[in-house]
Amino acid sequence: MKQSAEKHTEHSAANGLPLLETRFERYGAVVLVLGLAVGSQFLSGYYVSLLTTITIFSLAAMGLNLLSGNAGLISIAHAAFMGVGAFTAAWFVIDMGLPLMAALFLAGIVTAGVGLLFGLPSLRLSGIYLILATFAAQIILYWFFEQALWLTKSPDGRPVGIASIAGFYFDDSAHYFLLVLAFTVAGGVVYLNLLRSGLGRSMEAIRERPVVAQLMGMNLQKTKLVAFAAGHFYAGLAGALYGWHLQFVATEAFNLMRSIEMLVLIIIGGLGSLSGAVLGAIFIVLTPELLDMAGNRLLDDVSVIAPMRLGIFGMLVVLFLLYEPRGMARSWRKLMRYLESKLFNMNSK
Amino acid sequence: MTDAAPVHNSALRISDLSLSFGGVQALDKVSFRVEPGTIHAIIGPNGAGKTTLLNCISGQYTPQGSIRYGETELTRIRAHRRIGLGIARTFQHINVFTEQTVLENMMVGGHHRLRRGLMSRCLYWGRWGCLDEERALQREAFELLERMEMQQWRDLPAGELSYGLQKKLELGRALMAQPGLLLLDEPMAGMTEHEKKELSGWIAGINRDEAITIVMIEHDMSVVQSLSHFTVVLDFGRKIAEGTPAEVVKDERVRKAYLGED
Amino acid sequence: MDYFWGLLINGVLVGSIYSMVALGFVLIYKASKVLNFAQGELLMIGAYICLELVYQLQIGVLGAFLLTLVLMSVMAILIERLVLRRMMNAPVMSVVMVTIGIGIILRSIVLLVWGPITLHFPAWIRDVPVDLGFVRVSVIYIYSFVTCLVFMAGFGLFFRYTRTGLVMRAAASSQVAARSVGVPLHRVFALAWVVAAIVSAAGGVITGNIAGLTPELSAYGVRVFPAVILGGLDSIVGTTIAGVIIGVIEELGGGYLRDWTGLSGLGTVAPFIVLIIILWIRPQGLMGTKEVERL
Repeated sequence: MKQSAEKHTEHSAANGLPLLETRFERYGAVVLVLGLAVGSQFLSGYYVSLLTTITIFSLAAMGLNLLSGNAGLISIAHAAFMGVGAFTAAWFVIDMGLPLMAALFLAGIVTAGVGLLFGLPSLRLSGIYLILATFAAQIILYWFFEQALWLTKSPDGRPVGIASIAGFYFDDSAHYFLLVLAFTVAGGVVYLNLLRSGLGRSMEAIRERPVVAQLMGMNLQKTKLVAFAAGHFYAGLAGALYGWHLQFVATEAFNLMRSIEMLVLIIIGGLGSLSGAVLGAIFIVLTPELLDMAGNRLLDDVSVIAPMRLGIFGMLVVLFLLYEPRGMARSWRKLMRYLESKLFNMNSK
Repeated sequence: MTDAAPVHNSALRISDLSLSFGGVQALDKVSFRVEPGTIHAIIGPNGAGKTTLLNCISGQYTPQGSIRYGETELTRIRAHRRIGLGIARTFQHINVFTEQTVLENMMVGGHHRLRRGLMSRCLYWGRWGCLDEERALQREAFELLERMEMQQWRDLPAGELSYGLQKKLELGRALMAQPGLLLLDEPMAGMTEHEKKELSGWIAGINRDEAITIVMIEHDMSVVQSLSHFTVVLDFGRKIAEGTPAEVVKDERVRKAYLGED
Repeated sequence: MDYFWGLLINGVLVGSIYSMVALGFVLIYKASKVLNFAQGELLMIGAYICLELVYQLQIGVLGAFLLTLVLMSVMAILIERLVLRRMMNAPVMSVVMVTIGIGIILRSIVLLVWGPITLHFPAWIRDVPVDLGFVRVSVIYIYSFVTCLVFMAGFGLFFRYTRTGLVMRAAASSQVAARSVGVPLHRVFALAWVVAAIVSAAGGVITGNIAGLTPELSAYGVRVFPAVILGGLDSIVGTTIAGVIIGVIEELGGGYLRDWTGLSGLGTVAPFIVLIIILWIRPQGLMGTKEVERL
């Protein structure tokens, strides 16, 4: 290796694998984040609330994508783990008097721990068992939220008031959005960092060819453990942020349907990619809103809106899996490459 | 990664290796020795136990008997630790990671030398980040890809390469592990004559220049004769002959069991 | 003591419905390695279809029940043909999600057509209690229990003695072997779905007759999971026994544990706690094949 070290000057510098693939995406991401940060301050409460929900779901989806999309460990309890994060953070802040930032971090840690508790036994088994174990986790945790009143105060959930950091109160929802955005951007960067590091390669390797991965020196159990812990850290953090967004940690926000929605989110968005998490979150938050709007305009009988919405959602899930099983992220990537070639071709060569 | 490649002068000693799958004796008291720095060919008809033998060395199966590499008893070492001892392999059927780029596939080969933990991978940059070892690994991959004349496909998903190139990539990935012992399972299968010739030259080259010991399964007798220093013949899980390729092809039993079939 | 016997009888009855529904679940899993999350919705829609037939055609509950089984078979074939057959080589996650999607569609249909309120079958049996000596049981329970036994025995004979049954068993134990002797796999899958739909519909009609119909009937699908894991994911005999065990745990858990601990809902959660514990100590269940990742 030593003697060849000098002659590598010829090829492009080894700077690690890129964070984002195309320049268009890199500039686009910066513009998007800055645009959201500034633009959100001028929007009405309804739109800020939608944006906040999308951003929090993106963060949660990164965790699930890391777990299920990249490492191939399917969890059908992501919402319940978000609930663990939300209630733990509320407990740390209100009952224990910890500052919000510490509580958010600890909520992530606790959620990772609870995740391991449920996932650990099935990490040695095939994925089917993990699906069933996480399903059981969803049922058990939800029941726990309804019963453990020392933690959750009422079966419906507990109010948490307004988020505050070092005496600054986020009483304007647009300000709270900035906090959420900051966490999600940080979460996104960490997600991309993990993917382009050795951990990302070993997760993909273990999902695609476990035997080969093992012979390449990858420890299956350890990698799965790390993926499990990291994925649930995201869930806990996102759940806690969601609690202060609604200013009420509602038990119902973490039910089975929400967990299913999270899985649908990453599949329709695109497995294993950041753009998948974001596109999926936009889809999962906006679709019911749009369907409700359309329903209110078109239908006389308002009681059928909810079941119609459910049916259309189910149909979209089936159709996506049949006709675009790799999600929106793939089409998105094609679009990005196309735009890159159109916009940057002149000055790159 | 900046330290010099470890000096490999370990012999591989296989003694009384037996393995059965539900009544089928896949390996039956196989013993032989591979001297450091040599190319050893394993030949034999289909189902003779060749791949099973390789799998025992790389760790997918736990056989009875002993496999010693240098001073280490391999049967006691877990599979994912064996690459750290300098044992790398390729597979009979293509086993590249199709969705990852050629570069990433290569970097997977050097994975076992990465030391950084979860935190530094989250950070990536800076003093506590893992960028330093990522760059070192990436640089190695660049160099090896260049030596293999594969740099133009570097950023392509490996699944989009031709069959021959995927085979070659798999060899490259194994070399990224900086092995002392390289196990090749039919590296030439399905290749064109031209590709075979090129690859033979390559294998002879890495054996000569980097003193890598090679154990390979191969069906093409002309390749075996031109490449290998020593040949072991398996049939129904038993070793029926060994010696130089020239000696082995003259052996009566070998002609009957194996060459007669061709 | 009557309290105990009441809970136990209830548990055995609910459990035998679980066993029957689990039969369909395990069959689909064995034939095609698909976890069918729509099993509960099949049960639910089967019950509603039967109810509709009873009121529309006036052919009595029994006639409507048989017609329901036919309609459910057609639906199962359609689901297999239109959706699952196209996903034969798709990753596990996609297949699981697609069955969840189908379940959601079925539930929305029920909500749109019949609404969320509880509906009832017409009373077609006079509900007289039968004295079993140690406990008096409602006659409808006896009918239900016997129906479950008949269905399971029927499928038992079918797998043992008919050619189609043997082919299905062969395919379930090894897809590769089945393919090599020329068994058309997609027909086996379709048949597995038909059986699953039939047992689910039967379970739905029985439950509907006892407790009335709500969209909540679909919860039966997931409540079968603990039975499936306890019995062993790939063992039909195991899950049949485990179904009854889980039913009893649910009822006794719901009854006694609630009284002791003051926690409500323990009955439905207890089986899932059992599921997690089984995964910890004995993932292959009572009678399943041990399958642990090698290396």
